[in-house]
Amino acid sequence: MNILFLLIPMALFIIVIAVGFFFWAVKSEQFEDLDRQGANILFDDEDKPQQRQQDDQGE
Amino acid sequence: MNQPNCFHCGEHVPRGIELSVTVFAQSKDMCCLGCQAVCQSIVDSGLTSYYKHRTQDGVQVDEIIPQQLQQILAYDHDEIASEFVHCQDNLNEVILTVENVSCAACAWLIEGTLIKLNGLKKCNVNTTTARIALTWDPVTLKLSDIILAIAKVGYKAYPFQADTAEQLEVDIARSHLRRLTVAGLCTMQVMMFAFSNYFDGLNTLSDSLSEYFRWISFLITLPVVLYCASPFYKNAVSGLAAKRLNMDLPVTLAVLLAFFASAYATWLGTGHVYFESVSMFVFFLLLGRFFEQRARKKASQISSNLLRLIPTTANLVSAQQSLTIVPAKTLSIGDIVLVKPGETIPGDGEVINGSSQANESVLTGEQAPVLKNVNDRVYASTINIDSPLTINITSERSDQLISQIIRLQEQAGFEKPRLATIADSIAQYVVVAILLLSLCTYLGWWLIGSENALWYAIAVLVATCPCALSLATPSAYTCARATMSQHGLLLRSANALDILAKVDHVCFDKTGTLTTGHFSINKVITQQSPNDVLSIAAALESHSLHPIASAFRPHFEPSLTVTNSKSVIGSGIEGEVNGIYYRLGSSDFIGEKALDNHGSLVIHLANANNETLASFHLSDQLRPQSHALVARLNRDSISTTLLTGDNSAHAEYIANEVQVTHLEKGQTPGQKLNYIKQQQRDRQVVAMFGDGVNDAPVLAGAHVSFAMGSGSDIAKSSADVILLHDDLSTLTTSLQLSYDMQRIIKQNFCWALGYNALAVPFAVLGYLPPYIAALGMSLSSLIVVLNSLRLLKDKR
Repeated sequence: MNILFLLIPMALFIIVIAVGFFFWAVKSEQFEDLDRQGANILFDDEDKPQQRQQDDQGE
Repeated sequence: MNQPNCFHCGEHVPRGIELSVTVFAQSKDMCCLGCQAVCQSIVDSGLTSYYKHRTQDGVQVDEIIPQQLQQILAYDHDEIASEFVHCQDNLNEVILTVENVSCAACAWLIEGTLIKLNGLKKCNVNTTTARIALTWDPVTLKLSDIILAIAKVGYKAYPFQADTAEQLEVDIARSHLRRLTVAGLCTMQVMMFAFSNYFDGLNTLSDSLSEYFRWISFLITLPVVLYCASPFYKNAVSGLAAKRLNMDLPVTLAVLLAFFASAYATWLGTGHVYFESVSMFVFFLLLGRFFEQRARKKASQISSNLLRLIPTTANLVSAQQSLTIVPAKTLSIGDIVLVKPGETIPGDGEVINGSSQANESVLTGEQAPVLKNVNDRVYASTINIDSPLTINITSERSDQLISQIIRLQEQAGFEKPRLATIADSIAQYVVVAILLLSLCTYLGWWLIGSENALWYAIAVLVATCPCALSLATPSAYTCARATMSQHGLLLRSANALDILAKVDHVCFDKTGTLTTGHFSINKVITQQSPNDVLSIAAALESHSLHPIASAFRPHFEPSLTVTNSKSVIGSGIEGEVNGIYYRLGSSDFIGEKALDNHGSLVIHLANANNETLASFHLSDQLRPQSHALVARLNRDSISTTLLTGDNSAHAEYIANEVQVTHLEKGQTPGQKLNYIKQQQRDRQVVAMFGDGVNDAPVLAGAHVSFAMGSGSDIAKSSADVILLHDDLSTLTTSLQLSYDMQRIIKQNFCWALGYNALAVPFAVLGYLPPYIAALGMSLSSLIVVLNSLRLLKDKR
């Protein structure tokens, strides 16, 4: 059980890092618009509008 | 293809309209030129994926009229832009609100359009707040170009007046989120160590490990107590400073006492530690407040979005008689301005040339136009209707009538009486009870001679102050707020619902509130077919900007042609319809005898021989829900007052019609405010309904106030609740909701206290193992939350 004396502080250290990341995320406004980002993946393929238009014409 | 729907907005395509756009290699029907233009521009810029991924139809798009264009161009003026544009490193930054941005596809469409603009550095559309953050280079790009580009894909963007409360709410929301997360993470860790103690039935934990766990728990709880729970300490102290006991006081005592007692026990190495209770307690408290706060933030953002900054411009006449367009705010005394028909008068002044009618409804609430001749005074923000007026500006901006009303409103807002909420008043008793109970426990055990007296007292504090009690009000508030927004009610102040339940006097404005604020035809007296005379009148009125004209618009027949039409200011219109001469106008104009008719306006149609063909009775119609609302209030023995600026017989007619108990007519904004102050001195709790600028001071001064969504900005910014859909029947809903909320809050408190009263004796006597207590605490909280959720059920 002695390993706990090492592992628990390590776990706490990781939590401190996680909290740090979270604070950064809040600061950089990542929690301001939770509705939209989920749907953003749908538009990933459409990043090249010009090409898209040519495809449409080709159909 | 029977009645196809518009591909862009989903509305029915009117018969006779044949417009289409080729999308996805198919021809799609369009309902109007506006939609067609928008759809075509979306297709042309290759953003058709919008149509693939959108979750809602677009909105029917009107083409931009020249006046709107002028307003948009006015945003480029430095004096106007300085109000909302920030400049940094030679780049301009602005946040705009966008109407009808509903889904990710809308956001993508707008971003996709803007990104192509030369000079745009950054744009980010937030669909939750319906706003765009923009950064651009002012050398290559103008703000009006950006707004027009957004308009081209069918959205309207405006700068807005950020609510003063809003930035504060956003900051609080962020710090809440941080505190909540830290508390959550720490609670999980502490729980882990606590559970190893709880379930150590076989006593396998060595003493050293057990002590190690305690110290670690102490360390993890430290940020929870010092950082996460600090808002509660602040509230408790400020409550004490105001000589009031609030719920945060026992919370503070419980958290601090339990923490320091546990820390002391850890130091001594004996006694029970409550670290996990402290952390979980703080976490649940923060969770309740977080949801409440988030709802509040959303409401203040929506209400900010409603306060659009639309600049007024003025046509300044120079000494050489040339016209320049300047922002209205730069005008000074002695400037000569030309106000064209349909334009807003830019400042208080005197007419020096021309004769017209002005719509002063913004200031007085009355739609009936006021005749303006040379030497008559005109007021800023009112609208010129008939013909051009040249005006000499006679007041500084701060002395304008409208600025005086705004000052009155600000003053009234400061003096607004505050009432204690139900949560506060219950909390008073609860706090006293909890403090007494723990004091008794301490004294009892101390008299018996137990050395654990302090521990037992703390146990009582911790046990009586659990999550259920702390969730009792925030959960009810949050649910009630959600239900209200479903009904189109935007709650700007959290206490409005609380106060609503105590209201015993409701005051209404007349025009625009109890009535629609628009003229409509309620009677046609004629020997001929009513449809014929109506369409002739509609044709004559078709080019008029007069408020009466809109009443005839539904009867307009495109087949009739009007020639030689001429409006006689203040009297009526004459002209030829399909070659036959007609006159339409007031009794004087036609030569009819004026009759008393319940305050409705009568206009007549006559032919060339001065024979009256028809009489139209027009009036500002009551909203359909007004009757039911006042009847409901009367049934609940709530006094009702019609508080109107109108001095005509129409006020009496409306008062009789809806059966209000009091009528105060011909009131100026200041008199209205004095009237409700008088009622408040008589210990009445007063609610006010209004929509106009003239209602703003009284809205700000009432205990609780409601503004119409279609009302003026200043009315909306003074009100506690905004009726987004102008539906008066929602007041009945919100009254019911506020009664329900009071009941549910009381139930929640009863349950939470009852459970505690039951559990405390066992806890004190040591018969309640901590994990059972924790389980009971969670169950109790769950029941409270479920009870609050009943407010979401739509039975009203």
